[in-house]
Amino acid sequence: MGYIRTLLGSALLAGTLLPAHADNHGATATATDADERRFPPSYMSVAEHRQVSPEDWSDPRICGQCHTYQYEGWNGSMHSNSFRDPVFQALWALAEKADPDLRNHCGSCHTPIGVATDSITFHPEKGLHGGFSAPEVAEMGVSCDVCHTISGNNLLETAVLEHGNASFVMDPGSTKRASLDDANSPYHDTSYSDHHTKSDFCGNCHNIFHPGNNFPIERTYDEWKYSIYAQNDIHCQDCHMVPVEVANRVADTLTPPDKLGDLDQEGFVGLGGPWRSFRHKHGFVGGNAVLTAVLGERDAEKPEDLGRDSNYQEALARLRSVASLGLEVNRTRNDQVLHQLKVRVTNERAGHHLPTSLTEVREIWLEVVVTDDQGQELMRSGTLDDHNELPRDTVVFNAHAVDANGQPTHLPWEIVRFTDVNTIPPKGWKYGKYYFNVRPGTKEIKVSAKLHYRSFNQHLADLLLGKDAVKVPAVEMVALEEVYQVASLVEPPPPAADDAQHH
Amino acid sequence: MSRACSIVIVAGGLLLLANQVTAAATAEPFHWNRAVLEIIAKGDPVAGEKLAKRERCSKCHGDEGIADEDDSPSLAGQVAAYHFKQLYDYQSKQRESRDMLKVTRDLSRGDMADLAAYFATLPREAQAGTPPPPKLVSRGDPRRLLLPCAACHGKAGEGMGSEVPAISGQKVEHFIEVMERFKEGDRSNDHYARMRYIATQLSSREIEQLAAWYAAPPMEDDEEEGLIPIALD
Repeated sequence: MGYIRTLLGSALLAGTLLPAHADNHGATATATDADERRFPPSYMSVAEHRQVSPEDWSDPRICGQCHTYQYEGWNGSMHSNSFRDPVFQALWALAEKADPDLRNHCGSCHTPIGVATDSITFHPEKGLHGGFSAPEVAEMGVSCDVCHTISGNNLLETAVLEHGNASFVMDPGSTKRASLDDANSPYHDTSYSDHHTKSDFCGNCHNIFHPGNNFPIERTYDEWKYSIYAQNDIHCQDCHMVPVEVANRVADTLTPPDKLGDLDQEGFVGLGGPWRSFRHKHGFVGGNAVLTAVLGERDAEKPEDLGRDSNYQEALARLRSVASLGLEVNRTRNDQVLHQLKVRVTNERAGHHLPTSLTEVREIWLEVVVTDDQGQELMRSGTLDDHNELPRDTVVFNAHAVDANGQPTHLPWEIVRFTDVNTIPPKGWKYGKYYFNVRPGTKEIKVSAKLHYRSFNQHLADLLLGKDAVKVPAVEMVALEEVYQVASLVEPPPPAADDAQHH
Repeated sequence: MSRACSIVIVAGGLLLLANQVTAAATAEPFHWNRAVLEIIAKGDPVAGEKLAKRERCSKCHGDEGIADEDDSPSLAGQVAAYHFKQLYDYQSKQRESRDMLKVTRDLSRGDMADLAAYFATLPREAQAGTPPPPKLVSRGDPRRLLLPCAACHGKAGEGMGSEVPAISGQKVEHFIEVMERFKEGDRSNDHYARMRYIATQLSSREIEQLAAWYAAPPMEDDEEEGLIPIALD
């Protein structure tokens, strides 16, 4: 574990990077236990230490013949593309070149079958940086049988004593585990699993810490765990396994879907099975609309393409309903000319931060334009330039990561710390603050604010996929436009305690 | 305009409206929902028997739902909900058959439920025990992503739940014709194209073997080979 150990070693020598408790667990787990684990630095395990082969897992297209509603949701999802995702493949290839031991760190969540069966092959000649292949069922990523045969987690084995880095137990076989306690199948055994109904399940992959220095790189599970959603017993599944309309009701009322009523989620969950009052969608749609839109050709007549378009539309709908904007314009104190504009961005409906996951890569930003009644532009911020990059003064909600030398980095294995975290917590808000001048005689001004999202910036796309290989698309999440009478503007009220200012 | 004439016009208008409502309803592709399941559950086999006689179903499907001709389907013991859907699909032209369109054109949803309930009560054609099932029935073929037929249609082809038809005791020629129509895409009223996909993976020889076995599968209470989850050999 060259890179990881080197980094860990230097961190321990410096004695400053790891907190005391993490120091102990991290050092012990990484230097000693890791060697005893079968798939280090991942915390994945196989029940009873069995040797497994790809044939031990069912092809999702087999599952889909009886569980078609679920297959339709999964197909085209990020889970189904977790291995094939070209951005991930490129990043993974760079990781492989930095330290081959990182293969399992990334692969254990992106192709659990590939790691568990040691069947992943690296092709350095493939693409710009290299690429990977695996048996077909392993290339299908986080597929039906991966999740429905997981039998537990290893969170107490991890360096941080928390979910993360694939801290799950794989137990492929005839028994399929899920949330129904009265399921019966003529084809496989069934078992009720409380684990599958809780964030406790998802957290095994949606919480990622650096395998060497234990720095929390992706904290989606932790963000949820300390949120008001967790306090109200609302789990990942309650928002990401229901249509966006239901998810919005869950978020607005902080009520789990089974207590909402009128869900319109009835149906068969398995061919030949009984009619159920509720069935889960399996697209697990979040905000990553880019990949679902660009990966593969779609053909509505082909069973294997079921669901691809609907997942893309679902991602757009979620992005467009998750946040709200508010505007406030004031004369600046002691200055009759300079005006202040505050744009409040509220995380209305995400049970984790906005954005989440790889926050040093994701971008949510404000585009703000102020014009006067003559059409003169008084202020502009956050408009993408000709290179599809954001101007430096843009208010961006994300995190800034640096390596051991304090240099900015987007490569997860290089991250040592974040220098700035500007993500928006669940039901919380942050501000973008701007200033502008008004010309004498101006009676009205118009403020236009838009919130945009993209999964990664153009710079990273160029690095991973090649210069100009793809123009990263952005999604307009929400927009607000208001006109103000200049004469009506007053000085701002005293700062409120919750004004977490930015910019 | 005389009063009588007015009544005729109003009545004609109502009739036209009623027809439009019926046409609009039948144009809708079938969709499983609670209301449909409740209609099916209320099916009355006694009323269905009378209706079957009135519609002369026996002409093609035999006196007790067992067809005399090998190219006509037997309906005895068919899963009621599946049968209901087929009648609906004929009426709404999701499944094409000139004869069945003619028969179903004026059936109400309740009529369809009664007919389905009646035929579901009739015993399937008695069959003697036969050799073990073809591998496709009990094991499927993972290389072609084929589940065992028995996983959905039951160990003896008795059908399952609401959506999966009984195919036990079905007429050989009819079985083959249905599979070939799925294969060619001429029949497309299978949800999610399930049977269309399966049929395209089967050779004509395999379809014939399956048809022969399902025409005379073992009795449900016979000792038989258990369903084996598929795995690569």
